[in-house]
Amino acid sequence: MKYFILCLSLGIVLMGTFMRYVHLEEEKEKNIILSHENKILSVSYQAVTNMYHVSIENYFKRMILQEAVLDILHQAKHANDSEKAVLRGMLYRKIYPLYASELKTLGIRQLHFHTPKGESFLRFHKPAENGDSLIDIRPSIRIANTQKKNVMGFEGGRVYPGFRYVFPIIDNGVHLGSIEISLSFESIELELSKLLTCKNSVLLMKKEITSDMVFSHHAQYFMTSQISEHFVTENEKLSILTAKSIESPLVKRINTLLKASPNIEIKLQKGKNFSVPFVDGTDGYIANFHAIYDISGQFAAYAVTYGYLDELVFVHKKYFLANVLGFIFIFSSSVGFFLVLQNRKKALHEKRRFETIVNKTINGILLIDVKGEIVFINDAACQILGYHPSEIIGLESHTKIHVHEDTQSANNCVILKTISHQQSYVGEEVFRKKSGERITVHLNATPFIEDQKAIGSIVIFRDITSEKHDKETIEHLAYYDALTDLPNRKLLLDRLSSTLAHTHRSHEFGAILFLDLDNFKIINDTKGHNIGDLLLKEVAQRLKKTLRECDTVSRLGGDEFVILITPLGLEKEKAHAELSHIATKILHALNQPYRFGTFKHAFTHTCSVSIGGVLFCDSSMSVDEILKKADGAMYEVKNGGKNAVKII
Amino acid sequence: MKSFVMVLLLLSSMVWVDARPLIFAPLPLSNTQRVFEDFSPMIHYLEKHLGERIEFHYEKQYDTIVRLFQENKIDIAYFDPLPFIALHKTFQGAKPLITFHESGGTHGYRCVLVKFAGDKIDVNHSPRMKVALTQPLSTCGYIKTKFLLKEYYGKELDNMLFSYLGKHDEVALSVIRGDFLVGGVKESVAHEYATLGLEIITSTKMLPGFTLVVNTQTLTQAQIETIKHTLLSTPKEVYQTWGKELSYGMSEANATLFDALSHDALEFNVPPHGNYP
Repeated sequence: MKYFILCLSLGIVLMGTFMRYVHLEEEKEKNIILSHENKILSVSYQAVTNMYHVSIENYFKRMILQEAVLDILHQAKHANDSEKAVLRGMLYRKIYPLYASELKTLGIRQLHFHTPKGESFLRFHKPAENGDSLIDIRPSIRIANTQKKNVMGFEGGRVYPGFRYVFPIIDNGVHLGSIEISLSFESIELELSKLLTCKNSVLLMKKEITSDMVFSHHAQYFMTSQISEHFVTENEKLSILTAKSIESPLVKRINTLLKASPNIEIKLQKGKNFSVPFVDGTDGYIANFHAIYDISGQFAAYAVTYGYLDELVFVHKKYFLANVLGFIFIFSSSVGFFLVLQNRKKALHEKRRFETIVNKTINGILLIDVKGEIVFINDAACQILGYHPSEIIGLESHTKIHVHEDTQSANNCVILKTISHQQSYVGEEVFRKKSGERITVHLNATPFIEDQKAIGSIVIFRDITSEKHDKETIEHLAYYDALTDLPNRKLLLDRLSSTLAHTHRSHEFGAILFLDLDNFKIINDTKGHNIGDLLLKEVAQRLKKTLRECDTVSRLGGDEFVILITPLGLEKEKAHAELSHIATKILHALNQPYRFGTFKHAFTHTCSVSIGGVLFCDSSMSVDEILKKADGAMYEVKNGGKNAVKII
Repeated sequence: MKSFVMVLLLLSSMVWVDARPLIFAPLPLSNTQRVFEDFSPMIHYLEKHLGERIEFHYEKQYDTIVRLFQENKIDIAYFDPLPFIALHKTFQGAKPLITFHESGGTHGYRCVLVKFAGDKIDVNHSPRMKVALTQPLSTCGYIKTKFLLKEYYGKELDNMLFSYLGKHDEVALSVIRGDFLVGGVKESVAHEYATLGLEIITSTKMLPGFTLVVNTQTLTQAQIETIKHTLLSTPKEVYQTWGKELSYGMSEANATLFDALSHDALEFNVPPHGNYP
């Protein structure tokens, strides 16, 4: 469940990221297309307005700056109202033929003379309306009459906003006012349509510079835009081109989409060029907005063109397909990843189980590669060999760990042979610990097969050094006395039997000396058993020193020792003499004082011994008889006052 | 069965009438833009109070408007007296409802003979001077201009060169431009163009004012009453914002005022075309 949620979350995050990326790429590609379309509009708009500027300036110089016109304006400068009325009429009469025949044909919407004070002197488009001051609401007229320079650009007005070309009229240094020649958007639109593929266009004007600024009775020239209530368009009842565009099904469709577009109002308020793409079923649409700034630098309007753009459909389909393919890929990957995780979890689980088994086992496990280098070691092996894993990984096991006979080459190494021969090996080998100490191990080396090829060997081993030592100790204790490490009764009897068989064949004499310490019970009772044991050990040592290597000194138990002496020669007398001599030497050796303890606890003890001896040279007497006789001889000594030797 | 068909036809006719918006057509006193901007506020005001859409219909020719009215394609019209008389003579469904006052609140207007102040007129030296007229059916057109020329100069219009220009302001401007020496227009138009040197030579007596005429064959009595009541009760501060011709107030139309003018219309045989291109 955990992995399912993880994979599901991962899939969702990846899909989200992918879709976001695809969306951004789509937007980027669309923006390139839109930017191109918008650029075409901007360049075309600039070209059209500049073209008009050149034409209109020529008209101004050729038609307006005539002597007769200038004469009327000179007279008007100093005339009273009634005189001005006549002069206004004369000016109208003079210019009207030009206005009607050429300027109106050119698309001029307004031809407007202003006084030097910036008042309206004569509007050809509204001749009856004059005398109102424009200096405060029309920057173009203010600039032309105060700074005496030509002004060009879009601007609002009392009658109608338009594309203004305002020229100051100066004759022989006398400022006579200014003239304004304005174009309607229809004119601009007409020329734009010759350059653009989009045949539908609308001028979207800000309310502040149109219906809010014009004479109240001219407010009917405008109607609220279908896109935003902050913008107006020309009233379709007054503008044939606007009506044509607004009534166009394409414009209606795009305007509906624009109105529903969430950010359109924000974009409109920014006053920047932008384009809005729409894909509706199999149709692609574009609305290009070219921001128009008025003469004072204020954002005033948008020239908007509407058109089809099939490229958008192609781009949309392309990225939709990318999303679908991305979804399939990510879904498949997520499922695959989920399965991998599941398998990995299973494998990890098995690995942990294996590692637990390997690490918790008391057997050492090594994995060596074909070169004999250790590639894995478990905890038990580290502990046995005294290495840290980091020290031993990579070590060459044949020379560093495995102890061989000097002549054994790697080819003959029983462990490495498991790889080369692909055969298992079980046996005892000697390993070298980090400290150099050698240990005996029982090992099982098995070739590690992968793809039917031995790529190494798994060596499972156990340290049996202690085990082996214990076995030897047990075996030793079966034939030797644990306290004195002298042969015990069993070994003595074995050797005595052997000696008897030997003397029977060789006719040489052998002998048994039976020793019993005198008054041993006293030291045990007075000094304790520890001191008693020490005395017995010392006695054993003195006996070994006194006797030859070929003689057997044994302890039967308690303070009784039996010595088997061989060979004593073929002659009885000599054998007897020799045995007496040896017995006397023993007696003398054992009579020497014994020192125990240290410093102020040190003390000396003197202990005598009673010795009974028996010579034998054939098998006429059994082992028991020999021992019994020797024991008897020894008791005779005991009874006779101890600390003496009796040979039978 | 016959009755049933009649009822069906009547219902169909009512459905048709209800299906289209009301049509309002003013006389083309000036250009489209000007006419539209002058009448739109009143139209909107009426739409709001009637609860019905009123469509603006512009026609250049007076006689076309008269014909469309007769054909029940116009429901409300703005006429000066003579076109109304012409209409009423053949179409009894035309009913004068409201008369608009002139500036100063006068319940009528004058037609005037105008000229450009910079021009000098000597009728003796130019007996065939050029005269600008509005339209044949316009009150201030042929009939009153003819009367004023006769009265002031003692000359006959028919002996002069005259042409119909259509709109009052076009007559005024053509005189200012010098295309015509004199012209006949409504007095208010002459005043409007005084700032361009247009001056009044002589004027008529007071005539009945411009009138809102309703079509009783397309409008119900209730609609007619609502229009009348709405306009007559329009506050001054509202109608003052309407177009110039409508901004001086209104009163209920008096059909008897048209009688005298009917006599003039009958007296003259108005030529349908000018004698000067």
